[in-house]
Amino acid sequence: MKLTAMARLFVVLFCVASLTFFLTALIPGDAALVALGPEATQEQIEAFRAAEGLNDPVMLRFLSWLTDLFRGDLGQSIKYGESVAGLISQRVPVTIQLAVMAQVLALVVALPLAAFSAFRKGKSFDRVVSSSSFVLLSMPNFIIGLALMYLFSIVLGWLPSSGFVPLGESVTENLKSMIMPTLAAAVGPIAVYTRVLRSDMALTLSENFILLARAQGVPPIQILFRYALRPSTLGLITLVGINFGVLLGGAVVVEQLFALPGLGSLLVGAVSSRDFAVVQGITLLIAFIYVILNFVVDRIYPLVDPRIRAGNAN
Amino acid sequence: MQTKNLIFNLMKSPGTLLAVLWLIVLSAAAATLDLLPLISPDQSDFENIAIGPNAQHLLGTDEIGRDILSRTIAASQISLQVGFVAVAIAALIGGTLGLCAGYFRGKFDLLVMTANDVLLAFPGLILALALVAVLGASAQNVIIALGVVMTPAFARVARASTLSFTARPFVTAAQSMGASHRQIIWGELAANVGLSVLAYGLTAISVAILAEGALSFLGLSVPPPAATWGGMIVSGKEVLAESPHIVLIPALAMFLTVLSFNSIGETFRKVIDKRVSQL
Repeated sequence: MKLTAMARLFVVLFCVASLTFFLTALIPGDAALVALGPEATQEQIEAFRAAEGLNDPVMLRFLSWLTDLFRGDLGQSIKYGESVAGLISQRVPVTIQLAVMAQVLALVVALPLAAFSAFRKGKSFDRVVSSSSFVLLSMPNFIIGLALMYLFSIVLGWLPSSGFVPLGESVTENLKSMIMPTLAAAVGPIAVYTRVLRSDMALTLSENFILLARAQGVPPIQILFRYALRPSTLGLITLVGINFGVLLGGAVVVEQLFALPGLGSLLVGAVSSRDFAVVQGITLLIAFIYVILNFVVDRIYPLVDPRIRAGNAN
Repeated sequence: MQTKNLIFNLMKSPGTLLAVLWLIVLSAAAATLDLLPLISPDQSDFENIAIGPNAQHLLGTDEIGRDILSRTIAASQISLQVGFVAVAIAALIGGTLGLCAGYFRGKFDLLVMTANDVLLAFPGLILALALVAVLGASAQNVIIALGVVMTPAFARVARASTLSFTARPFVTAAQSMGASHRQIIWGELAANVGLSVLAYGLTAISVAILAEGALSFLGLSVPPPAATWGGMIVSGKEVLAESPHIVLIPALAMFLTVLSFNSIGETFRKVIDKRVSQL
């Protein structure tokens, strides 16, 4: 009973969708009460439930929800009175920008730190990097965000503490409003990437082909980035995929802290106002993005490492 | 031997020793908060609003004049409770499922691993948020939500560890001597797999405390006026410019607690790795 990777992907996606639906669909009454407010009469509630199909058997509602899903219809937001898909598409660019910028920053910082730590394994540079990354792992992004806010907005007055400027309006102002959120979101991944890449790279550096290159007098920079980096990045690639999930989760907190109008702040608002169609839609979208991204990441390995392509890994 | 080894390793690293001390002090304070000679965490002192540390309020007061020391300790009750109980639930359920999946393989393994993949498809914090949204914000529901979120990771750890042990000679020997599944699981595997689960559990406590912190920061953990670290931090954010200590103190308490669990977990893992390689 061996499922192919593609079939497994679809099974997981279907289960994710079902779980998301049943998680929020089984709460009785709330949707009608939220839509109509606490003063609604029993008749109004009944009429609303009938119109929205809330009285139908749950399996029937699930089927119609699924068919709507295939057409890209995620339902209506009770709070905003707009379609969930529309609300999401307004907010999604901010979150994607934050996640991508944080991911890029994390890699740009972590790669050289890890490479030089591995090269100077056990020396003071390595020890400082490894203990500071360990400390940073224990710091939640909202504490880092608040520390940045205190330093750059309050003490130095360089950056606005909140307020988002869309990319289309002004690129420099947009980047200014994204600097602190990006930093706050990137610190965790920086620590994780540095630790993992450092230990993978230290292993690669002890291999014979590196020894040979060193003996031939190849300069260290070239050894690190041309010979040792690529075979050491397998663990990192998996982590980059997994960390998109961490970043999307972290975006919820960071967006809330810096008042960015992204998916995360929409989700938090929807949770507090019990706007379940929005909660459902965002949860589902984020899970789908995450699953598909990791599926793609798993297919990238053979491109990076010819040893896997040849089928003799290890 | 095992305990002696562990204690020896703890003593060797002063950082880990400090971590143990901090957790003992914090837990003791959290357990005896009602007996300590402190101002009640909910009582406002309207003459001393948002003031810094002084003789009357050792760590100062918050934006509505409540004592920060007693609130930080009260918040640690929630964080420690959520951390320990959520991890215990996840470790027990995930550990058992993972062990059985790794031992029996076949369809049961496929089922458990697919269920795992489905839960892991949701970024942890998003799933916790959705669960709390549905269940309602309370300590009990935060524990349930984080327990569910962390179960797949424990199942993976237990399964991987079971797979590595079932290939070892002491298990294959028991099998060839005709031991029953029950005897092999309880006699040979449970204790060994349990150790890896425990080592992961210590790190998982810090993950759970960070997640509770994020939820309470978003206003989705135990509702106010109950003190939570995340809640204290978010309310202090409004007066960050004038009174940074309101944010700093709970942030520091949270950071030290998470760092402590992480470093004890790291030490513990090293000891176990050594033990496993000697088996």
